Amino acid sequence: MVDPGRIHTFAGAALIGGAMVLFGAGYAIFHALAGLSRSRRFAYISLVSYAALAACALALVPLLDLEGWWLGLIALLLIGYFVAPRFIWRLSLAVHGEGGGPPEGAARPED
Amino acid sequence: MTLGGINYHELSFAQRLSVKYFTVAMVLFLAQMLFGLLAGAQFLWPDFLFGVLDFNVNRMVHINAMVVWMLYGFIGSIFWLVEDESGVPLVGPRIAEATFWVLTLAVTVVVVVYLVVQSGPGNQWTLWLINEGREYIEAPRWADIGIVLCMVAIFYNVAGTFVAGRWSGISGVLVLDLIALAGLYLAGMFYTTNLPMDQYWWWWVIHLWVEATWEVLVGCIMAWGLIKTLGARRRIVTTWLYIEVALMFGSGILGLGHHYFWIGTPEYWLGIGGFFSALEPIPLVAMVVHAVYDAGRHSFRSNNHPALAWLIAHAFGNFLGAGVWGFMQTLPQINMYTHGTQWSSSHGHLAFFGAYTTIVVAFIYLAIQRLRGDVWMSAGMDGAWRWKWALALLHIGMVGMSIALLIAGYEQSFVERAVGGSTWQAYFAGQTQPWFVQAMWWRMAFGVLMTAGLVLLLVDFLRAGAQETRPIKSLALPQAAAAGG
Amino acid sequence: MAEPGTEWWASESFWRKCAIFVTAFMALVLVLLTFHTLTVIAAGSEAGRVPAYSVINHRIGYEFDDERNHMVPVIGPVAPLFGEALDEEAARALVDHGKLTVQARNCMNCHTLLGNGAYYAPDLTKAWLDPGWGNEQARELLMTMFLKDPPANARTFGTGRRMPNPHLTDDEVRAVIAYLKWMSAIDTNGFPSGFTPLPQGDLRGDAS
Repeated sequence: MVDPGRIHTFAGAALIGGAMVLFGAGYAIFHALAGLSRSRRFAYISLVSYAALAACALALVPLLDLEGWWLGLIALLLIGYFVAPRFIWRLSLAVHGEGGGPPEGAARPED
Repeated sequence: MTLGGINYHELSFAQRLSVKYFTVAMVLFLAQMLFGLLAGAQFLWPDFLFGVLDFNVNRMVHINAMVVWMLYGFIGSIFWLVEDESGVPLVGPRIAEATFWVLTLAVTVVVVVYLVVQSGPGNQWTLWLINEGREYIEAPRWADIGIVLCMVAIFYNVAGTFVAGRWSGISGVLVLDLIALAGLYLAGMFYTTNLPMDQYWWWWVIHLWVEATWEVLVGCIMAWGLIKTLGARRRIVTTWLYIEVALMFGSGILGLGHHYFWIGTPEYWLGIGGFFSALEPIPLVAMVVHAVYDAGRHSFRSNNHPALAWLIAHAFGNFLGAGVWGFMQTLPQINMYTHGTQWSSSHGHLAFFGAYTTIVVAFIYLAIQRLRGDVWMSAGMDGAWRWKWALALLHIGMVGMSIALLIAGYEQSFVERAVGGSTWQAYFAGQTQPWFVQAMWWRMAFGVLMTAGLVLLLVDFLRAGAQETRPIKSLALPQAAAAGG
Repeated sequence: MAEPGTEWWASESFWRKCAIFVTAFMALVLVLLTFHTLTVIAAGSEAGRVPAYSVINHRIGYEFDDERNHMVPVIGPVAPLFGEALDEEAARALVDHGKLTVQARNCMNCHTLLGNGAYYAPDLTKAWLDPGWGNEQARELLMTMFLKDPPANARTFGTGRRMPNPHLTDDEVRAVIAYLKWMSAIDTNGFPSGFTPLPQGDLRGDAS
C-alpha cells in the first residue's frame, strides 16, 4: 500500500480526484443542457468535460500506483461515469412522460 | 390570517410544535457557532480558557449542538408536513407536546453537565451520567435511553397519524427511514473494551446516519416542499424520491467501507470502501441533473424566493461538500495520508453545511411564510437584503473556512505524514508550519464572517415577510390544485 | 400506477421495487460482512489483527512486511508492562479500565484514536511506540510522569498547546498506558503512514 514514490503525489492525486468528480458534474450538466436546448455547443462542452474526467481518472493510475483490483475500479468508473449521467437524463425525461411533445408547463409565465 | 403579521395561533397544533422545534434548533445553531469560535480561537491562542473550558469541551459542544439542532430541524419539518400529508390531525398531541419539553430539558441538562462537570473518573458511572467520550455521540447513557424513548414517542405520532389518515409514497419512505434512523442509534449505545469493535459500530451510527438515512429523510422533506411550493406533480416527485433512495442506499450502505480502512478491520474493506465511494457521487449528480432539467423545462413560479435559494444551495452544497470534498480523500491510497488531519475537518464542515444546514434553513423559510399569513416572499420584498446577505455571508464564510482547512490539511498530511513519518514530533512540526498557522487565522476570520451571517439570518427569521401585504393566493399556480395524490 | 406515456423503467412502481430491493440487498450484504468482520476483529482471534489483551506482557515491535508492503505490529518476547505479567483476564480488566478512563476524560475531542477524533493533539494509535519517549527503558517512567501532570511536562514543540491535567489516579495512569500499549499492537493496514517506531529491542527472541 505504501510506496515512497507516492509521498509527493498523493496531494495532487487528491485534487485530481476532486476535479474528476467536478468534471463528472460538468459532463452531466452540459449533457442535460444540450438535451434541453438541442444545442451542439453544449454537447461538445459535455464531451470535453468527459474527456477531462477520463484524463483525471487515468492520471490517478500512475500517481497512486494502481494495480489489480484498482485498475478494474478505474475501468468501471470510466464506464459508469459515462453511462450514469446519460441514463439519469433519459430518466428525467421519461419520468416526466416526455415523448417529444411540448414540454409541460413551458407556457407558464415567469415571475 | 393577517398578512405580514404573526399568525401563530392560526397554525395547526403540529405546526405550532414545529415552530418550537425550529426555535430550539436555531438557539443550538448559534451555540454551535459560538463554541466553534472558541475552539478555533484555541488553535491561535492555546492558553485561552486553558483549564476552564478546554478544547475538548468546546469541540464536544460544537459538534453535539450541530447533531442535535439538525435533528430538531428535521423533526420540526416532519411535524410541519405530517398533518397536511396524512390529511388528519396529529394522533397524540399531548404526547407530542410533552416529548418536545422532555427532549429539550434532557438536551439542556446534558449540555450543562458537559460544561460544568466536563469529565469523570474512569468507570461506567461516568459513561452513564456525564459523558461517553465517543465523538458525536458523547451524550451519557441516561440521555441515550431518553433520546430513544422520545424518538419512539415521535415515531408513534408520525406513523400513527399516517395510519389514521392516508399513506403516500413520501410518508411510506419517511416512516421506514425513521425506523432505520432510530434503530441505528442503538448501535452506538453499548460499551466494549475492544476499540476496533467500538469504532466498527460507532461508524454504523455516524456514517449510516449522515450518508444514508439523513439524506433520505431530507429527500422526503424536500419532496413535500417541492409539491407545496413549486406545484411539482406528486407522481413525478415520488418516483424521483424512489430513484434517490435506490441510488443513495445502493451506494451509501456499503460506502460505510471507507471508514473501515484503518481501524483493525479486514483488508477487503479497502476494496469495498473504494468501490462504493466511487458510486457515492452519482445520487448527488443525479439530483443536480434533475434540478437542471426542472429549471429548464418548468418555469416554476416560486412564491418563496429565500426558500428556493436555500434549496438550490442544498443541491449544489450537497454535491460539493459530500461529493467532491468527500471523493478527494476517499481512496485508501490517499486516505492513508489524509485520514485524521484537518482534511477531514474541511470535508466535515462543508458537507454538513451543504447537505443539512441548507435544507433546514429552506424549510424554516417555508414555515415563516405560513406564519406570516401566506405572504409572498420575493427577492424584492421589504428587507430582502437581509436574507440575501445572510445567505452570502454564511456561504462565503463556509467555503472560505473549508478552503482554509483544506490548505491546513494538505500541509499537515504532507509535513506530518508523508515527510515526517507520523510521529508526535512530526505532528507538531506540521502544526507550526507557517501555512498551517496562516490557515488557522483564515479559518477564524471566515468563522467570524459566518457568525455574522447567522446573526443576520436569525434577525431575518424574525422579520422576513413582516411588511409584506401581497398574498401568495394571487399568484397561485393553476397546477397546484391538480397536484393532489 | 404507470401513466400513459411513461416507460416501464421510469414508472413509479418499478422504482419503488428497485428502492426496496436495492436497500434490502445492500443491508443483507452489510450484515453478512459484519458477521465475518466481527469474528476477525475479536481480541485475540486467529486472524491476528486485534491482539489478545495479554499482549501487554510482550514487547511490541513494528516492522515492514514485504508481502503487504507496509509496516505491521510484531509481537516480540515477554516484556511485561511495569514488570508484572498478567493473565488474560487481569490484562483485559486493566485495558478495560484504561479505555473507560480515556472515554471518561473525553480524550477523543482533542486526540485521534486510530485516526478518529479531533485534530488538536497528536494521534494516539502508535503512542506506545512513539520515538519521542527516547528508548524502551525510560518509556514507562516518562509516560507515567507525563500523565500525572501533563501541563508541567508538556513539550509543545513551539505550538504552545499543552494538555490539561486530567487528574488521573495512579491506577488510571497504569490503565491508560496498558490501553495504549495494546492499541499499538492493532494491525491498522499501515496507518498512520510511514510511522517509524522508537528503537526496538530484540523481537525474535523467546516469543512465549
